[in-house]
Amino acid sequence: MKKNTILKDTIHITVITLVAGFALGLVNEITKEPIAHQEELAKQEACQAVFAEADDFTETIDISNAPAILEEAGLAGLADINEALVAKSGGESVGVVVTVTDHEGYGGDIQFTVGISNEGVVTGISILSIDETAGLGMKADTDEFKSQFVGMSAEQPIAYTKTGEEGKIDAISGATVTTNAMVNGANAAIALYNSIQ
Amino acid sequence: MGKYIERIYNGIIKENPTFVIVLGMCPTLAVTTSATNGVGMGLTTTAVLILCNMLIAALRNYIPDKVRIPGFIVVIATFVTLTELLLKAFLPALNDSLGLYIPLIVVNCIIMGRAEAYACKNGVLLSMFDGIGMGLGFTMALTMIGAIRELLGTGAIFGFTILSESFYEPITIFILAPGAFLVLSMLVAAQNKINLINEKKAKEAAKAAAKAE
Repeated sequence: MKKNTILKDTIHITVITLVAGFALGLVNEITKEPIAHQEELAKQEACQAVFAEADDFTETIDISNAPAILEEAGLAGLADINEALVAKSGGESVGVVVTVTDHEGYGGDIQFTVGISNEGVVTGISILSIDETAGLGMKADTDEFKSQFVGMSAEQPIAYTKTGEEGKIDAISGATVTTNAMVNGANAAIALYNSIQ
Repeated sequence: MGKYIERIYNGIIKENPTFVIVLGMCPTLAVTTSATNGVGMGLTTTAVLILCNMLIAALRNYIPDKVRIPGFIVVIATFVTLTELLLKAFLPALNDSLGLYIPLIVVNCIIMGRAEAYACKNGVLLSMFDGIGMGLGFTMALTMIGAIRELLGTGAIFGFTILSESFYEPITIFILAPGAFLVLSMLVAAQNKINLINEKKAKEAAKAAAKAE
């Protein structure tokens, strides 16, 4: 009764794989545009969150000299600048929105956007991706922490403090590594801002 | 109807995927730093598990026996990827809260395990209930682990502070990796105790029944 089923098995598994492949290709084709649209929306929202006054974030700023800027700011290898956009309100430039990735997080990269107005003041930060320890580093993604950046001067790099000194970011207790990563990321954005002024 | 309900009971208590069969340990240990994460991962897995079980059960006579594992992998991975694409494109709100967990599910051994142990031998409807039971068992287990870790590690559950920092110093180790092992092992021990008591009771009942005869 032992039948050789290798041919039948091969055909069946081939059919399954083919159907799966076609289904994936088809759905990918259908969802490509809606996904790109959603990502665009999410980006707009992130920009809006850090720069409430502005309403248009479509013009990109050339950041090909970013490595040199980071080198000068002492942040080479610690942080990267991903994108910089002009924040416009009614067609007039009112500041910049910079997306940075800092590599010093406790759980790896932290990516966030920083808004800086033309008056040299940080207008806000918004975290795009973060994977820190819950209850510790994750507190970086609370308004309590993020709002500290609002109103900071972009004239000089931001610093953080563990003792509550004025004019500095209060470190998250138990998560100095995360605080340091956030501050350095923001400083990368500030360095870029200062280079284009 | 009894056998459908039995499937759900089986998944939650008797063969709880986390505490009894000990499947899907990667997400269990890694994701449960908070109760919210536990619920999110659990419910996402439940949805995928139900549909994958049904799909595998429907295809069980078509997938060749000798190469069934590659067959399962292709079917499950395709299905999960399709779900991810569709969620991203059309349900961004749901994707924001659950999308994070979907890539973690593709290789989740609970789904492979149930396909191999149950869905490939049983009908679509029974497999569906098996998926519901196993999924709920997994959700319950993850939520419990997450809630205990979050409470001991940060003094909160679902983000709401319960043990105020004025009198409770959070035991940070519970939200770090070792805490996952500590909480999991204690819960497994508790579950074993419950199962042992249940077994003893069943034995005694059988004895009493034999005596009565």
